[in-house]
Amino acid sequence: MIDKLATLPSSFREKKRYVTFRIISENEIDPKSLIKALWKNLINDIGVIEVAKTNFHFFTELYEPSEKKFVVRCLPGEVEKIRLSFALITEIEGKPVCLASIGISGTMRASKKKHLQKLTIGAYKMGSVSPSPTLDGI
Amino acid sequence: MLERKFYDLDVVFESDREAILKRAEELEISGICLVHNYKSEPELECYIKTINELRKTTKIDIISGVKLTGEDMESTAKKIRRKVEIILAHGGNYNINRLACSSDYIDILCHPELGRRDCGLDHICCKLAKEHNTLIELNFKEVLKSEGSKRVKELFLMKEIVRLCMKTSAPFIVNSAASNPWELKGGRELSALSCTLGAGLYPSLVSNSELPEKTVLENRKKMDMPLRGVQIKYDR
Repeated sequence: MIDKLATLPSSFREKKRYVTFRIISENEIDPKSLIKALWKNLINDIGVIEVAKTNFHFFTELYEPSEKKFVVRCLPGEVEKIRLSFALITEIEGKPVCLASIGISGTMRASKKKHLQKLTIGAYKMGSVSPSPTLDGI
Repeated sequence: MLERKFYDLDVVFESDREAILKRAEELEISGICLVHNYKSEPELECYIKTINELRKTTKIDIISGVKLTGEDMESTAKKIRRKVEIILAHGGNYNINRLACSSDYIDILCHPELGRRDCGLDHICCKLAKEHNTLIELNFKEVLKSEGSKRVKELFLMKEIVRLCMKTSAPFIVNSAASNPWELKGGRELSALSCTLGAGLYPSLVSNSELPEKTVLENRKKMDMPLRGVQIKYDR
């Protein structure tokens, strides 16, 4: 038998929230140092046990240093804690930074569409992007 | 989409104003109050002039505010009430905290827990604050600048303030007290502090958006009155 768990039915799965943040800084920030700073601050501010309860995850594949946007996952009840903890970050690699949240979504797909996609008027006209996120972005 | 207008009613006036305004636009803050520490009348006139000039350069709602210190703050507040939109009191001393809470002339009591081992407020102060519509400030900078056990103690005192405010339904607000653009935070980040300390999501959002807006609009209305309670309506 294959040593693999069956996928849980959706009603058995935990609800998640995907929070998109924007980095305001003078320079681009290396993903490694960003992740390190996020984890350090989270553990400092809300503690190891609380972080463990938040189901926190940083999506490295969605972070592009030039875009200065990143997405994290957490539980719905813990969003404000994550927000506060990230707001308390003042510097990364000795350079001053300010992290501000852009928005929250319930799925990864919505998060990508709403907050991460580079929206152009051309894309909207071609119908490749649904109108609502385009208007949001503009 | 219906969006909240977030306000930050405590930003240091003697800072890099242009950079702060630019950052406030970036963070989508609707209005900021540039606070001047009151020393003398001529300085206040100069401050008001600068504020009026700044209003022309940006689309952010710039609010004029003065911070008062000392126990004779009420008499000064009476004098300058019609000149500025917001009057703040520098808290920390219990007598000053109570005076600010019981005064109709003072809008915001800043950091009542500053330099104290307790939160600086009791149920009497909170009830007075509710009666006289004085907002009790939680200072984000105090948390941002402290580290380790000091941050823990600061958060504990703030939690106590939030608990008392929620119990007595006294109004409270979270301000950044920024003196440089890096200390300025977005509206949701500020309200995340009070939410995490036990205020609940909706009250914490209201405390940083609707409450300050209401206070500012009321004060602006009062500034236009020639006499207390008298309004002028022009026929067109």
